[in-house]
Amino acid sequence: MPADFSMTAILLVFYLTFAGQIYLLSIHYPNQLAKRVSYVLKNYPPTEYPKLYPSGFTTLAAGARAGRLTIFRRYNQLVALLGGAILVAMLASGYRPAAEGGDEIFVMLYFFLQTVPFIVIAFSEFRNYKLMHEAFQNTRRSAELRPRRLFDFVSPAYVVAAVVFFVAWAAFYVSSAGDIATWTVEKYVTLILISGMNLAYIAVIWKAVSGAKLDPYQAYSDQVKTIESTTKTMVFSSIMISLFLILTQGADEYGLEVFDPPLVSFYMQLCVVMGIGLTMRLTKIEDVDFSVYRADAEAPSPDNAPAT
Amino acid sequence: MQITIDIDSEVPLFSQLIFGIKGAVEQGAVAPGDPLPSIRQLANDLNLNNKTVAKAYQLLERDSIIQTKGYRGTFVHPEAAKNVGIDLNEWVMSKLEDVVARCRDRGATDSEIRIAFTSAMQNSIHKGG
Repeated sequence: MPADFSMTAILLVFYLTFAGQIYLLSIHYPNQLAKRVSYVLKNYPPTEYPKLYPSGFTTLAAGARAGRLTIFRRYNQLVALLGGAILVAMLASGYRPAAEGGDEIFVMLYFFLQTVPFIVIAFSEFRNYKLMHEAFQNTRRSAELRPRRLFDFVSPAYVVAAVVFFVAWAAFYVSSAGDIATWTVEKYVTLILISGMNLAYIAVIWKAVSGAKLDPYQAYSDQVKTIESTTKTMVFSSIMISLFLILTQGADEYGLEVFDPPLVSFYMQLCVVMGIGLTMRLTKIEDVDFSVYRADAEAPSPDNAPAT
Repeated sequence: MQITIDIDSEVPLFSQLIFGIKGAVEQGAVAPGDPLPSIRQLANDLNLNNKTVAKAYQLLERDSIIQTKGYRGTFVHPEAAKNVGIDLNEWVMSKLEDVVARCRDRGATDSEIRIAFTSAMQNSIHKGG
C-alpha cells in the first residue's frame, strides 16, 4: 500500500464509489426505465397503437400485463439489497482491499449481475424491431433530402479527443511494455482488442449515421435523436476506455493497484451514465412521436409530411 | 425537405426519385450547391436497393441536375434550376419521330428503318460513340 494514502481514505473512496454503483444501476436507472415503460403502456396502449407492439406485445409491454415489469423491478431491488448486504459485510468484517490489486473482479461480477436485466431488454428491443420490419406494410416512404454527417451529431472536439486519448493510451502502453521482442501474447491481444473495439465503435457510428433505421415507423426527428445518442455514446465510450486504461496502467506502474476496485466501479458507472443515461436524456419519452404507431397512421408521419 | 416514393406505384422507383429531386429543385426547396444525401443513406432511408438510387443519381447527373464531387459527396448542380425543365427522353423521342417521319416520306419501310436504326446504333458503339 502506498504510504501517502491511509487505509481509511482508500476504504472511503471504495465504499462511496460502490454505493454509487448500487444506487445508479440497481435503483436509479431501473426506476427511470420502469417509469418510461409504464408511461408508454398507459398513454399508448396496444389497442390504439398496434404498430408499437408488432408481436402483440413486447417483452416489457407483455411484462406490464403478465407481471414481468414487476419482475424487472423486484430483480433490481434484490440486487440493490445484495449490494447493500455486501457493503455491510465489508464494513463489519473490516475488509481491506489487496495492495497488489485483484479485488476489482468482485466489483465486475456485481456489475454483471446489475446489467443482466438491461441486456435482456436490449435483446428484446432488437427482436421487437425485427418484428416491426416484418410487419411494416407502408407503401409510401419518405426520406430527408439532406446528408447526415458525423459532426451533425457530435462535436468535432469530442471526436478529436477520442483519437488523441486512444493514441495516448497506445503510446503509453507500448512504451511501458518494454522491448517489443520480449512481449507476451497477452500484450498483443490487449493492443489488438482495444484497437478492434475502437474500430467496432466506428462501424456502429457509420451504421447509425447512414444506415437503415432500426424502427421502420420512427419519425425523422426521433431518428435524429437516436443517431445523436448512439454517436455520442460511442465517442464517449472510446474516450472513457482509453482514459480508464491509462489510469489503471498508471496505477500498476506506480503501485496504486489498491485503487483498482473503486476505479473499475467508477468507470463502469460512467459507461452506464454515458450509455443509458445519455440515451434517456436525449430521447425524452414525452417528446417521442408516437402517432406513427397508430393503426391508421400512414407514412410519412405528421412531422415528416412530404413537401414534394 | 423530404422526398416521398410509393413502392406500389406503376412509375419505376428510380423515376419517382428523379421526379422527387427535380420537384425539389423546381420548388426551390434545394438550392444550387446544396448537399444531397449519399446513395447509401437515401437507399437505407427509403428501404431501396442502392442500385436504384445510384441509377437515379446517374441520370440526374447526366441531366446536370446534380453533380458528384468525389469523396465530398453529391450536390445540386449550379445550373440545376435551368436544366430541370429539360427532358432528355422527350427530346430524344421528338428527334427520332422526326427522323422516322422523314424516312417514311422518302419511301423507306418500317423494317428498313428498324434495321438501319440497329445498324446505326452498332456503328456508333464500334466508333466509341
